[in-house]
Amino acid sequence: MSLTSMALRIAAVQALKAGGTLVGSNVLDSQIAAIDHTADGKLSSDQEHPFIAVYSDAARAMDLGSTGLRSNGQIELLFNFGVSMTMARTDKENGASVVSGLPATDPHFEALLDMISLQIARVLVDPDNPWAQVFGGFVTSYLAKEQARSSSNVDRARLAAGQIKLTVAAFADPIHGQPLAEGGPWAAFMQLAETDGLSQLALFQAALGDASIGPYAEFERLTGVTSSDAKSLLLYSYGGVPEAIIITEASGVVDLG
Amino acid sequence: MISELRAELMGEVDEEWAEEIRHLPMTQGQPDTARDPIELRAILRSGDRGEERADFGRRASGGPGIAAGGGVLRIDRSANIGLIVKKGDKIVALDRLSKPVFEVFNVDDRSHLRLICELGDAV
Repeated sequence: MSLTSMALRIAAVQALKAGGTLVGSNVLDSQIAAIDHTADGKLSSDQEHPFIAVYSDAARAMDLGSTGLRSNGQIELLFNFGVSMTMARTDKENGASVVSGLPATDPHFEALLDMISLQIARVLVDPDNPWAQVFGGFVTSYLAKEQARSSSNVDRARLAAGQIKLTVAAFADPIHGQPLAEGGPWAAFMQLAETDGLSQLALFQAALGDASIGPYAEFERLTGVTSSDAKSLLLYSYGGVPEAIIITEASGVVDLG
Repeated sequence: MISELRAELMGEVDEEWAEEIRHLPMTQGQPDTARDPIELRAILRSGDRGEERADFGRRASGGPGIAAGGGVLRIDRSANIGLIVKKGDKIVALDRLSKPVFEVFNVDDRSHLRLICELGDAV
């Protein structure tokens, strides 16, 4: 629910897709609707696998003094993953069914959840995964990792699910037109987004804007002070003369007698 | 007398409602070799399709579930003497388009008329 949390989520989704986990490319971004499996399994062949769904959930920032309303503070990222009986293809002659190489039993569902959970933690810090490196670039520190498991109450289909809640501290959102540091996470993110043709690219471009350097840092936007406070504090020195204007020594002297 | 009437009624109901199914015995997720798969006619009523979702018991419980229907299978015991259905067995609805597969969640074998099986979706 901020530019950085959106970028974090997308980077995590892309990293997991490329990370070769047990779910393959079945990594869902903020999926709300139910996953639907047809009776023949053909129409939904892309969701035969277990799945991971990534959400950027709650965030909390305190002491906004230095970054104002751009602050992201602690962002909770949710990784929900699950495996269901409807993901296992059944041999209709003898009943044998396999999901990700294991017979579709409860202990094997659990084993898949354990492996997926491990793989999520490994992929997000993989040095060879450019998206994972972007993900890490937005994070200033990893604060908490909570894991939970659950299963459905089985009246329609067997479903086992796990959840990782990762709490990270993230940088504040950039302001519009802020020059993005070369080699920083935003520059890398925009480059990868363009390479991979992400559909959200235009939104990011609009939100980040073209880099522009004004006469002064925009203290109001950066820190949340009001213009009158900024003037009172003399943040705009020389009464607002743009810093690009160089004041040189007097070039001529007029003797007024 | 009552049992004859009962059998007659059940026969009439089955004639109207029963469909061809295949029972696949399973054990530990593998085909059970001790019991043979058979095809029989029984009443299979599949449930309303809805979302089966895991609940993590905290605010952030979200996340997608699986759309599934499940159903109930009622098998005439007198016509299928000796049939044993266990939890985990699979049922293939042979008359239906693309032959959907169901998994037996539990079996009520206390009625002397019918084996009543709660089913969940499988594919």
